[in-house]
Amino acid sequence: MTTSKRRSRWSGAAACIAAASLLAACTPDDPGPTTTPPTQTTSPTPSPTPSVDPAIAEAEAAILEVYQGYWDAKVASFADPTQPQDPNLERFAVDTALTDAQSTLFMMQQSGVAMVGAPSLSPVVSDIALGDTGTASIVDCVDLTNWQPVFTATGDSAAAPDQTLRVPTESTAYFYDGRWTVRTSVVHRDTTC
Amino acid sequence: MLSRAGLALTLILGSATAAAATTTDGTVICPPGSPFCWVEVADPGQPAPPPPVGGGPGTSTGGTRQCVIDRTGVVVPCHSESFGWFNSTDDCYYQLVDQPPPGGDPLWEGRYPDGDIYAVTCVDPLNAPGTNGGWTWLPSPPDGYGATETTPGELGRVG
Repeated sequence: MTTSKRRSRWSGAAACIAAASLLAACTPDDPGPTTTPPTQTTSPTPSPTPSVDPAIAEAEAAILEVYQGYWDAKVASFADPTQPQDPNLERFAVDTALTDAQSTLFMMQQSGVAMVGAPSLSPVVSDIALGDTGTASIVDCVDLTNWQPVFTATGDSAAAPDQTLRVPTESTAYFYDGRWTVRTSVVHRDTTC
Repeated sequence: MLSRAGLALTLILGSATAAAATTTDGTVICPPGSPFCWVEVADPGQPAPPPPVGGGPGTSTGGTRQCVIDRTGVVVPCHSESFGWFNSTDDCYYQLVDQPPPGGDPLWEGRYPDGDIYAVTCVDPLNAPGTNGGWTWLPSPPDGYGATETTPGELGRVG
């Protein structure tokens, strides 16, 4: 379906910590390797990972899954706009996230355009509020390098000129009808990430 | 929840025929919420059939309803399972949301349980440059909702 990848804020934070450690080891002031052998331990060191409310962690995982499903449904639907839209689009998206995707699908069909390939995603979830009307924020940098519009009649590129290939997006998740959904998804085509 | 997806799009778009040509006319289409834009072909769709006597696009003489996107002249179905019912006054489809958000949602603006929430899908890119669809509260069904014959609103636009 798609080559999109998922990344939680915790894994992202871990990567940053790892990168920071790596950078610190490469600074000019770094005295270099010491002659002291590394300390050997016989018992595992307590994990420095901050404690996370299990309910928040569970919600974050669910939101990322829904967000990925929303994009997968768009990729499937936009691959052939002459076919009925992927039913998962209505499963994972509501409000403007759904109707904007449907509008796009309609306009693509009218233009004789389809999308080939798949985007690469890097979503990060934050501000999770639990409850019957729970909400969360999702920021992403959508990489369009391998997901481009073509004219279905010829296969020629239909991409508008001078488009950025990495587009920042801001989405909101909404706990609706007993499940998480994507409620809004705003793209910032005038900038890059 | 909205009605099931499925047959809808083919029904909706069956008559909104895509152009086979790839000669572009320079118009760039950037749908709301889409991370990509594309160039429009010179002939973006099937032109509307000749208007009936005494009426313009999107109207009839009171008989079977005909739905047309004003700007492009493309004839579209007046109803689809996923999109809902076409409203000729704004070129958007309206679908009643069966499971609306709770009454405390800002969408209701304190008016719950009066009126209903509709999912609005707008289909003219130049008439809808930004997100102007999505869930919308209405006190009563919009023009064209459930209509199979020319609506009062459509008749009112003639002349």
